[in-house]
Amino acid sequence: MLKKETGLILVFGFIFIFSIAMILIQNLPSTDVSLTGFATTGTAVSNVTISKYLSISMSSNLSGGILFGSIDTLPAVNLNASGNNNSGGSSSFLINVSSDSNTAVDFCLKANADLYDSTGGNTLAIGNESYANATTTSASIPVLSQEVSFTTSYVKAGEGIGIGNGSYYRFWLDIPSGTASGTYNNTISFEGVETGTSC
Amino acid sequence: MNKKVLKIVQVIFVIVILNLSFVSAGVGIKWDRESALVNEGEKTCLTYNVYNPWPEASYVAIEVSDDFGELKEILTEQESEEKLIPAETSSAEAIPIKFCFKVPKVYERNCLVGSFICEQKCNEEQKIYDGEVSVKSIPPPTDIGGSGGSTTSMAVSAPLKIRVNCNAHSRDFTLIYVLLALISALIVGIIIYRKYRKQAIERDKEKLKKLQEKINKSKKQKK
Repeated sequence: MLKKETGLILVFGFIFIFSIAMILIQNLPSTDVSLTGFATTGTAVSNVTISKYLSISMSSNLSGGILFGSIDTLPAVNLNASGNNNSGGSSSFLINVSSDSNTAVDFCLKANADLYDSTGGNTLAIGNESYANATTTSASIPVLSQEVSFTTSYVKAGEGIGIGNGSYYRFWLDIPSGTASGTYNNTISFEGVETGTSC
Repeated sequence: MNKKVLKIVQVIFVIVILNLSFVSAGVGIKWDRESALVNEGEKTCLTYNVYNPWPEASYVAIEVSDDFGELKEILTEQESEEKLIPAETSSAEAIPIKFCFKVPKVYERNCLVGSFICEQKCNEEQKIYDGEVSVKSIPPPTDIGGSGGSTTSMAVSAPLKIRVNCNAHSRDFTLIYVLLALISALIVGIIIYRKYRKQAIERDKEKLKKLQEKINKSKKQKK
């Protein structure tokens, strides 16, 4: 009986140690070390880091939101956002490229969703909100005839904006007749990318 | 003269007010790599430098953009920190922000049991995922009144190409060895427990009893 127990302990003890050894062997990182002797060559490290950097900023009117005010009569077509016509008729919706950048910038725009009235649960289709952009602004620029409707994917709107320059925007909203009263909101995102790259 | 001074003051005031309407927080990104080689199934961290040369401080967060490329679809366990970037932080003083992610196993493996006891031959072409790393400025809450409108958010992005490394390996029997080790340890444990669960005197008594039985048996056989 004593011998049988000792024998079993020996056999299973061996299996245990073998298993642990195999686990270690299987999980050891493989090392391919090649030994060389009498080396006579030397190496010098060559190192260069090429950095790109860009920075953008929205005008405070733009960062404060695109507001269309209160509407009493429907339908409303090409309703101007409150910053579309600043004093002098120019747009106050501007995105600037910092002079502390080393690449020109493309701007991309998108909306996150349809305009939504959280109180009434109603939506106003995203296609009713539109924009136009230009590198200068005046009473007629950016011009309504170049308006583009928002989508939920980024679209380039202002390309190759140089260091220290900016892009002006105007926004318009159409509200079809029959739209339920309420406050409709969504989020417009602006993204700056290195010029020539995708949004 | 006084009228002239007043006019100059008025002009300066208008210029300042006009400029104020164009002053806002901004965000900037500085990057020195557009691709990274990562091992599948492993966590990788990249560092991007963020700056803000504008007159207002801004809170920023870094993430993989969900609008371009398939990169976001494959990354799991994205971790990043939100940071306040002080105003007037130039690109030379850019603040590093760490961005970590895990790439799941993307190469074909030959497994015997589920996802265990697998071998990997790496016969496929290297998998490359394109995307963008985006530094987003977190806007303060905006009150949109009237008939509505849109809140705005701003981001800057840098392209990122993730090349996934495939590590070829022979069949991994670790699970089998773990099971063997556990079973053998359990058996050895049971034997030792059964052997030593009684006190030494009791064990000796049992041994003595067995010996006596043996002696009696052999005596009977002799008779």
